[in-house]
Amino acid sequence: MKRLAAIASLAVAALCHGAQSSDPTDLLDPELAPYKPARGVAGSVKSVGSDTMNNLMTFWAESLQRFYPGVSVEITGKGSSTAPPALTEGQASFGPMSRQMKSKEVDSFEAEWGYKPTLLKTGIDCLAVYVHKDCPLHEISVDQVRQVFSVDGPDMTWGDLGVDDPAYKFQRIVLYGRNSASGTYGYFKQQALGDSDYKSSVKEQPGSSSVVQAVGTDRFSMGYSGLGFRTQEVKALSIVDEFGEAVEPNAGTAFDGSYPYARFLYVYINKDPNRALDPLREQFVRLIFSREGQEAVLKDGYFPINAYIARQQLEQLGLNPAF
Amino acid sequence: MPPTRDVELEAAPPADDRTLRGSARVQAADRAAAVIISAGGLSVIAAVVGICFYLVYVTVPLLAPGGADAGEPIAADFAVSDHAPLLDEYLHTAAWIGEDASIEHRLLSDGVIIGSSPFPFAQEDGETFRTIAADPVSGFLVAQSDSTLAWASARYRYSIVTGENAPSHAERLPDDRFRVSELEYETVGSAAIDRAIVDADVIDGRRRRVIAAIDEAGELLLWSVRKSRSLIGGGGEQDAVALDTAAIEALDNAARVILLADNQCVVLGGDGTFLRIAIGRADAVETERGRLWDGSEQLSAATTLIGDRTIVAATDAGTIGSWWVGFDPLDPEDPGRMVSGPALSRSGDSVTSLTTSHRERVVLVGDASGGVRVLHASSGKQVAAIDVGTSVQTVAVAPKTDGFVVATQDGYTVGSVRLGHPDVTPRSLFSPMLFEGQLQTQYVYQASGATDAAEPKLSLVPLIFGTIKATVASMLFALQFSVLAAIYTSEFLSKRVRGVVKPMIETMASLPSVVLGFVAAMVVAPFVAEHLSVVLASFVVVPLLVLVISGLSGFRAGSSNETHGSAALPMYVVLVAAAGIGLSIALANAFELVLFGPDRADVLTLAVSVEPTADGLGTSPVEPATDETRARVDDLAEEFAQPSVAVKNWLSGVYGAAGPGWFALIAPAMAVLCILVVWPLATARSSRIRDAAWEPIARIATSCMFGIVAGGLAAVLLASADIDPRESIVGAFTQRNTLVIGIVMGFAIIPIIYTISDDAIQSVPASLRAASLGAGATRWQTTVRVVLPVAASGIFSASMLGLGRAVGETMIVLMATGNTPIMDWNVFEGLRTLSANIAVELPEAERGGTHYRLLFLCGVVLFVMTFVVNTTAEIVRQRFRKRNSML
Repeated sequence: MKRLAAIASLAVAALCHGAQSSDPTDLLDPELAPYKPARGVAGSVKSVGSDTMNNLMTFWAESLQRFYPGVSVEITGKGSSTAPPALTEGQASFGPMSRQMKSKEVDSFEAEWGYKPTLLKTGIDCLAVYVHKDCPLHEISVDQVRQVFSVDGPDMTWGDLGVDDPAYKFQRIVLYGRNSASGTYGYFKQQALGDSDYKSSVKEQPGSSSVVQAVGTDRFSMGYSGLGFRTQEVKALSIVDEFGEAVEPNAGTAFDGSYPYARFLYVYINKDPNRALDPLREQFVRLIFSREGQEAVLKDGYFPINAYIARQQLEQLGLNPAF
Repeated sequence: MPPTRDVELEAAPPADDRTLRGSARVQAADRAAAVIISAGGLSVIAAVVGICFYLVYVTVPLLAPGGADAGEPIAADFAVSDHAPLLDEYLHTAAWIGEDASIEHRLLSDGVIIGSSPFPFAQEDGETFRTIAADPVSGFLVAQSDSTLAWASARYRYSIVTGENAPSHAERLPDDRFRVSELEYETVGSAAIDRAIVDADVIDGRRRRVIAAIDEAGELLLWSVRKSRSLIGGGGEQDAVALDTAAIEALDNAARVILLADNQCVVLGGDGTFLRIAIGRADAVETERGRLWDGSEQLSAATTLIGDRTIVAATDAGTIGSWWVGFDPLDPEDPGRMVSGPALSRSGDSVTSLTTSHRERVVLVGDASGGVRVLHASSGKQVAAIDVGTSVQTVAVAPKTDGFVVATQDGYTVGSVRLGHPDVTPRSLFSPMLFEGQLQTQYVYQASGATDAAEPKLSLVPLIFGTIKATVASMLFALQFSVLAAIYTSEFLSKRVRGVVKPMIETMASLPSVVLGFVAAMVVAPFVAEHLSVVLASFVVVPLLVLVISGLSGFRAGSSNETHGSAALPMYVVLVAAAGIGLSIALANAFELVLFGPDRADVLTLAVSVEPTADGLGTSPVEPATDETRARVDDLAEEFAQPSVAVKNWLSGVYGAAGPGWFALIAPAMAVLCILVVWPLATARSSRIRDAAWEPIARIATSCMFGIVAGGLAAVLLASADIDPRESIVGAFTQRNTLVIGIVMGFAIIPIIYTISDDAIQSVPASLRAASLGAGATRWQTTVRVVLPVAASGIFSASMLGLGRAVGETMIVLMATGNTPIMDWNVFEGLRTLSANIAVELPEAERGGTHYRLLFLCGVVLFVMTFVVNTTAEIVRQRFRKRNSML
């Protein structure tokens, strides 16, 4: 039943995303090799961390279960900030995060285990600024994003952003965001707000999809969330960068760095530098950096990494890439 | 006769023996039960006490001070230098920077040299370079030769190797492994110059790196290097491009240049003057010139705190202060101004060296008499202090802020530091604080961010405020419903109907609060947002209609006692309430437009159908002249005529005066006051009016009129005094607000208050009721004057229990508010409570860290609040109980 639901959801996701780009598999690096299963893999995979990567971890875990039916999987995604304590206390085998660990989090891990956690770059996301689909605004500049969301700026109406439509002009912009446990919150605070604080009036939603859902039901709202959570009810604004060019969030602008809020999606793993990874985690990591793994990234609405980065990540763990 | 008496004596049990003597089995069971029940009770007490102790155990370390220890001084002549060494993370090796910008990598334990690297440019060009500046946090070294200014950043790399491969200087780890630290240069760049540089600084921004330098005359030079942001590699750095600084007048006596985040640059003069520059894309513009301290003290050391937003500077008189650029949040064009932050030290020995931590907002200060202090910049608190005896040359702090190296004339000393939790002080928790980048003190709660530089803002006041606000809102909604319902079901309903109604209300308590929270967020909040005017109107119309209909029923012939107990009466009330809702749906829009609708002038102004006034200083609205303007005006007028749009715009302050708002708030309140208080007082003496059939309807009618008149007067008075309700109890509307919480959390606590009040009223002795009824009082008079005063203590403790539940309610608040820590009495705005805060933030708090302990402190505050409430309730209840037990 669960497997049927998983396949159905993958199919639906593929249909939806297929409708957006002409051929999503064009984005996959042809050098990425298909996954080759191994023998003798059993155990349980426990993942605690990012909500942005929740669906992605689920796709990967279910992919793993298709190859190794004996493996059990447990995925909790309450926010990237829940990953470091879970990894430090040994309660999780993988810590997906949509931001990098802070130095203090690395220090805690190191104080417990004696070595630093290993950072794996597993996918690329564009952090999008969403508005309701009927909203007349199509683009917003980086300065305006900062003014709208940060305490440094005043409470703004849609008219302040240049919207003339009388229904919108005098309405306050209602802001939706994530809570402080989220890596998306932290990344947006760092990149979009330049490290200044959010306005107290930004409504904290518990997950990425609830931000999008809230924006989709509230006509005068604006929120930020990963591009993979885009629905038909919302639209992602183009961002006008410091040099005056309007950049749309898509794979091309994410890869070449012109979209200001493009970021890596990370998975942290506890790897003792002088011991090899256990077979289960090794196969999970190989699956992530294989063709199937990066296809799952595409299906979730994010963008895959190329073979060069995949090779780098595997070598970091002392594994032979074989492609 | 004697035999009968003997038999009688044997048959009667002894009069004073109270113990039920049963069999041994019964007695043993009795004793066992006593032991088990006592053990159970004692273990409950022990568990509660244990929880209290655990809370205190986790929270108390917040108050513990930090400390520092110094090791043995190590004699070394290489340690004499103007620049602090770069320490590795594990306090095992350090890199000393020579005057020619070369680096010597040495072991800290004995100073033995491990390796050395010359400055990268010295190798290439063969020129001699002179070190200008070295930043221990970013690792940037800036050096100049006769024709080139060059910068490079040095970073440590660590590798863990097994025994055979380990060099002799490697740090030994458990399991026969070794850690090797190596220093590498990265990101080098250079620019051509033609003069001697006094000081320089480098900062990395998102899209570019900026380098600043000042020469002996105080003139500023700036370069920018554009960085590539490609995620998948490729792209590199471009050459340094000089920015145009010709327009900036040099600062006299310029000693230091400091680059801050957000494209700011500050040049500090030796006598306390400063010059602030805003760096644009291709040039730089002076924005401010002034003085940080009076000219009698000379600048001796300066650095920036982590995040590069705050400057910490020290003088030779021992003054250490912090400054940042504050921007006015209401003015997007504001260039900002230098604001003085907390003073870290007001007097003392001349400061010789200042360094900042890589992770915390902490500075280490070394002074001329050998004292080394660790100061927390946000609170001004001194965390630790040691004395090394001789004048301090440089101070360097380890990246993890767990150790430091102090260099003096004779050598250096390695020490360790424990910070404790300097972020949390009673002042930072409960009084308004001035934070980096802001102009005024305020209460802020923003406990964490994604980067090390985020300043934790840990005031509990917004959370306590939110808890109180949510509790008040839910009690205002729940109290009257539950107490009146309890009075009705216990006094007026027949037993049969009561047997159905009471369990139904108690079933309300079985709804899990997470379901209620979900319903609140998904159903109630959008509904209220969509139909705000109807909801607000129904608060007035429905009770009024119920009162009017019940007042009219006073004219009905027949004994009131018969109708009270019938099952039909609740049906009538429900019908009337439904009719009231229908009436408010019909009338709401009309009321809304009358009270809160925009007048023609407002519509014209908002649709920009205006022309300049005669004096040319402003605009005044006119009727539209062109078709396009007319269409715009008509569209806007139509938009505002939609239901609930006008009231939301009025609340946001888009147009409209304060008067209608005061009227809408005060008129109903005055009417209620009149009905409940004024009329009973007025008719206390006159039984002719009091007992007349038309009394209820007269009461309602006159109270309404009084309310309207009083409301109108108050509205005019307050509006003319310029007091606007939109700045206090109402304000801009957001979907997730306190009104929704009041309704849903009220719904959750109604069954609790109801059940206990009902039991309290039931427990009033029937003899009192009977006596009152027998004396000729009606059911209602008996209830109000005899039963309620006796049951008052029970009702009070019921409401206290409901209050306690409301204070601790987590899930409803978590899902139905936006969890925004705002301190605002606005009923249409969200809030954040202590309990929801704990639920949201505990999974991300690192165990044993400041944030974790602070969340437990939130738990302690919550515990104290609930404890106070419950204890008050219990005391009152006991006091009344003593009184009632005599009845």
